[in-house]
Amino acid sequence: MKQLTIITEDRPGLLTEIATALAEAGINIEDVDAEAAGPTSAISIGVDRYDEAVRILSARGWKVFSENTILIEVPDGPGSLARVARRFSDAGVNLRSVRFVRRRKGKALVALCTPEESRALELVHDLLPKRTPPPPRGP
Amino acid sequence: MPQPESALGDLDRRRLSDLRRRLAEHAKRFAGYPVNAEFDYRELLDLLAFPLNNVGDPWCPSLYGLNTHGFEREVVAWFARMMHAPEGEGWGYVTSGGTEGNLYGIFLGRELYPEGMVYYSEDTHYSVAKVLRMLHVRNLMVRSEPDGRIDLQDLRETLHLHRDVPPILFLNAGTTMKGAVDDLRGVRQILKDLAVRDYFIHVDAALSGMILPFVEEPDPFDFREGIHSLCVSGHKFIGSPLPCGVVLARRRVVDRIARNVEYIGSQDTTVLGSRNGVTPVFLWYQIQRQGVDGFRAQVQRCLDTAQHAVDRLTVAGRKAWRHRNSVTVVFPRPAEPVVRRWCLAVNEDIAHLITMPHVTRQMVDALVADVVADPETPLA
Repeated sequence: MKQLTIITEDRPGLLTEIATALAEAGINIEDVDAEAAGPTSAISIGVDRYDEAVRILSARGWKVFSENTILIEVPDGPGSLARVARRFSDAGVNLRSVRFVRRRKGKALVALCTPEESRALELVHDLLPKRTPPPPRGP
Repeated sequence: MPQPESALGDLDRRRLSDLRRRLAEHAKRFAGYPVNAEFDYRELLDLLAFPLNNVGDPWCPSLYGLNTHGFEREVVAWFARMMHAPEGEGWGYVTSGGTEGNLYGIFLGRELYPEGMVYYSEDTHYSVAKVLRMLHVRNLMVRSEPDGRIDLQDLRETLHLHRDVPPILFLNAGTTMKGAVDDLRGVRQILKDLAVRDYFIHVDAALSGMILPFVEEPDPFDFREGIHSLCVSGHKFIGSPLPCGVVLARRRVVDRIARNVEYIGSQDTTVLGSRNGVTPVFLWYQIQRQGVDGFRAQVQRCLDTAQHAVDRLTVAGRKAWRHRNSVTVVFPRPAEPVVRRWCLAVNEDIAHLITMPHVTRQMVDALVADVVADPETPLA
């Protein structure tokens, strides 16, 4: 099973829409997890047909991130991304890319891309967005 | 234009007719993208009878004779003069468009500094993230100011924290949504303040590269400011039915990646192997027809139309604005039917129209009338 993450505005019916889009294509959802960052939701979904799921969800306008992406939340200030990147270089952990997903109300949601996911998660454990209770599974 | 006798059946001919009709309909209200629809290349159409291919370095002899390297060299030389590339140090070629030019620039930076880090603003064109992934180069996004320019305070903090890593700076001269030009002098001052000696600067001047050389007070953006490479789009301001562009770089940097390829008897300095041989002639044709004075007049007309759009939207109660040397007019995102009708580019709560040479004041007035008539369009 491979995981993808969708970043979008949180709103009622969102999970149903995503689940329906995947179900219509015959793609099985094997795991769902959601993280809230202000008005933004980060929904991680484990699917059996990864490439097709990415294609279908992207075509419907959702911002879809591959499984190597870690999402963190940092204060939206000068140098905040650089300080995160510094943690990685100081620890000798390979960090390929750091970019903003959304900046709003003094907070920035940031996507990190690294081939060393477990070590990376340790480095940014204090910056991971708060988890919401698991949402209902899709059809 | 009269159509030649067809080799197709009725059904296929009808499909082509439908296509022409659809394209003509869209062209009437094509106001949201930085593409000039005003051009006439009929004088060159007979060139399409040849399998033209500009494979290889345009400055080196090639065994493939059906090329237009001579025209390509003239085009590159013209752009090099416009962008103030140092005499004898400028090199370049005609690309497939801005993305290839940016790929080339980042590639050069990475070859020069394999351990370097690419810094780019959040207002940078979306294709750059893809290029960075393709080239497997480390990268870090820098904040943008609300007006679209790179946030120099964030950049300073970032470079300060990573002084041990050579920066590969990807800067914009005309951002995609807001037409902003990054403050190149401000960036270089930061490099000086932090005593950063090893760095590479690439400028994406896809649209504004054909505007800034022709205005009274251009924002600093070209080789006079110490940059290493730059790309300009050909199909954007100049206009072409085939996407194209020009990339320019300092010769000494390009020499580092040059390799001889026996198969074509030419140097392998370009990203692509087979390359378009028609577009260099299209660009050469427009340069001959327009000249510097023609482009200057065209740019001024587009800037005037852009200001007309700002004024009309403002009178209509919309918060519209543009950068001084930009033809990109930013305003609150209208409702979806207006966006679709005028092919507007949108991003979250803003939209823009771009007054390319084919966009007239009448088109702007009609667009503003649609915006005003739409009850769902916010005022600010």
